[in-house]
Amino acid sequence: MRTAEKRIKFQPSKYIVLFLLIFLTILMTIMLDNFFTFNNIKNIFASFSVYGVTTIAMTYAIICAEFDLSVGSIMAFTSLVFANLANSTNLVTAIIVSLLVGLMFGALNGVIVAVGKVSSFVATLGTQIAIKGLALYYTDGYQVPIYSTTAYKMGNGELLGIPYLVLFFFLMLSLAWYVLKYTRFGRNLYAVGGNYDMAKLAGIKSWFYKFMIFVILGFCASISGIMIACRVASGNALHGADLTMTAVAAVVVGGTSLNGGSGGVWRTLAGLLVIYLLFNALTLLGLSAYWQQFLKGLIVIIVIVADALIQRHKED
Amino acid sequence: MCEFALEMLGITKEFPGVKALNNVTLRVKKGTIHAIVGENGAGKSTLMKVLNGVYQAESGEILIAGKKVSITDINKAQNLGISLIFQETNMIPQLSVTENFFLGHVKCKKGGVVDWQGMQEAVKKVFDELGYTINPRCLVSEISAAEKQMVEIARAISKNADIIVMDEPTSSLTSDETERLLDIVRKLKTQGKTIIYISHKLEEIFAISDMISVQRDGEIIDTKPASEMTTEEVIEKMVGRSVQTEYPVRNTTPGEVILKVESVSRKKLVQDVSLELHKGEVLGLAGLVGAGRTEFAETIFGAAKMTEGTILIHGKAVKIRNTKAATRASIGMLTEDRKETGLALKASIKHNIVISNLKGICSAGFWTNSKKENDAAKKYIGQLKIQTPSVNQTAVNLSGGNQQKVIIAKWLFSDVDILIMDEPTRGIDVGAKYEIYCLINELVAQGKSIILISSELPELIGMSDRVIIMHEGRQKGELSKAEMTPEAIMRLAVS
Repeated sequence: MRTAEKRIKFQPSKYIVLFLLIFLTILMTIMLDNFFTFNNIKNIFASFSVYGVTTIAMTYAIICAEFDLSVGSIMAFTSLVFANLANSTNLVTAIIVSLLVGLMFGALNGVIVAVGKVSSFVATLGTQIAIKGLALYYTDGYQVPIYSTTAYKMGNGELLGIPYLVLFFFLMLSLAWYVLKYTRFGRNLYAVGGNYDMAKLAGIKSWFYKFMIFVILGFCASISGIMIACRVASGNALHGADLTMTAVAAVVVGGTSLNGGSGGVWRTLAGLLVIYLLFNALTLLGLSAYWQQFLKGLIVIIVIVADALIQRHKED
Repeated sequence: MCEFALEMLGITKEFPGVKALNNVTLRVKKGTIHAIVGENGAGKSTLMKVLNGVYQAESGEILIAGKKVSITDINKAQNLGISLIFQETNMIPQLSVTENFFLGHVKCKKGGVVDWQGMQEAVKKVFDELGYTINPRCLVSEISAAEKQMVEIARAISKNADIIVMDEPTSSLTSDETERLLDIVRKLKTQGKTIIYISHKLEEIFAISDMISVQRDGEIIDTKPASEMTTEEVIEKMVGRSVQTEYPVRNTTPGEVILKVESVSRKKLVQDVSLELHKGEVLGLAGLVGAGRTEFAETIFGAAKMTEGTILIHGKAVKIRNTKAATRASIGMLTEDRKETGLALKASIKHNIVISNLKGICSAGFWTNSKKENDAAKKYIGQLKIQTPSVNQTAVNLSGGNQQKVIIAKWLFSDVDILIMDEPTRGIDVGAKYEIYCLINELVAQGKSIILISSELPELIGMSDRVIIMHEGRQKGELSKAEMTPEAIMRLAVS
């Protein structure tokens, strides 16, 4: 009865986002003269690096079957903290304090969800509004310009023609990938997301993982806040208004299931690329930036419906 | 050295209202395959849950290799070398076989780096020893039900389990897969493992076991070597109880055919089932768990898609695509799980009664009329003797029997002629059961027709005019009132 070892089935549905990415790249290269140029590609990467860092953290959350609406508000608040401190003290202090603020908000979300056992949707809906309110109150709604040239350089400088922010994004992505694949923490995250109670029975402290997810999200959102403040040389309560939705869209388009337990950060990179390639195409075609919003929603719906159909087909 | 790997002495376990285990004594010899057979609800699974610390027994003691132990939880059982493999596997489908194998105990190299290679090799080694051909890197969602069971067994062995309990391991397997699994079980025996094998498939039992214990009504009736038992004997012992409940007498004779079902199939769950139901008849559906009775009922009721077959009501073919169509075609169903699918638990009784026929309480066909609603609810509360202080009581506060009556009232208000009752007396106390039986008789006297699904043989025999027996999704036979004996039904249900 011993036969050849069962092969792992090739599942095309797992690679939809890659096919889509290749297809879009080819299509745009043919249709748009100035698409496949170094500068344009650089622009695409530069445009999502800031949101990208939080999107990586959102991937962790969705693998763990959680969700965070408050990241945009945390990003806005920390951009203000950073801007104020960068002007009044030094950059190192500003960065450290901003990160601590992010960690603190993240821990708050974590306690509410993991310890209070509240649905993350409701919990972070509340903190999103509250933190946004704090941000607006903090500077009376005014934006805070940053006078430090070092900060501006951090946000706009390049190394060998590649923006620092893009390099930093890839550093974070690689780190996130490594942690997911090669640490006990990463592996247990999949288990908790796959089945909370079963993971608990297997001896995993499930609640702790849920808690840590929000700490990581808060931390990464504050990094995004610092990044945007450096890039545009100002802190603003309106930064990151569409961060949550963009992040979730990219994760989902990348093929990480909202049911939890599967997915990965490279998929998220592919998701980010698909979304921002389309935005870029709109810009090159000279269409209004408002179409971006519409398009983002449309992509998410198409991908989710396609995924649901594939799942149902598989079950039959 | 003790001859027995496991001894359970005088185990008693009570649940509110039921003695699930009554002074059970079970001795399992080392290195044997010991089968436990019994009807649904005989207490087999409860006994094994006591062994695994899921339940705590009120009295009795457990000895492992002659030493007295106390098992307070699953981990304790595992440390003592006992592994329970449940009917439903305990694995996370999104993760790979390897990861499930090491769930909660991910192996790391120095410095906290996950040792993927090491884990895969460890799994491979166990699989090779058992002759598996499963790729450890496959996702659990991609492997078959049999392979999942096999992985669970391997996982148990890797945890140094000496006593492996398998609870209905083949219930979702095809016959080929079953053969493979049985081969593995035999192999485990040659490796000196002790296996407790729970099943109600007698063929399997006789194919592999050394010893057979028959359990009935929470007691072990007999334990004998398999070679000294016959299928007949086992069946007799499984069902041979005295009928405790009285059944009300019915003086009606069934009339013309009202429902005709012709070779209905639902994928593999239900295959080629045909039956006729007469006006004023109670038709019993017998079978063991997993025989496809509920699945068949759901198909007729439009809750699941029929892949083949026709349904005729009053001789006219009807298409039942959803439950609404079923209601229109005059079919109602009391589901197996009244709390999940039968009632809106947090809604009032009156709302539960009118929920399927809001038209019936509407004025001018549009606005719901609360007077009509109250009147309707009061009428059925009186008629069915539902015990409740008011029509506004929430359904969750009623007893099981009264909840069941509310569901019956719902279908009466929807004016259905055919009522499918799936385990209508499950979890209901004896007195209330009797009331439900009387109610069934009243409905029949009014000309309603009933399909009764029950796992309690006395109930089926006491209430049905005819009984159809199902096994693995297929119809195995039909018995008339005169032919109905527990032995005759069980013989068809286990083959």
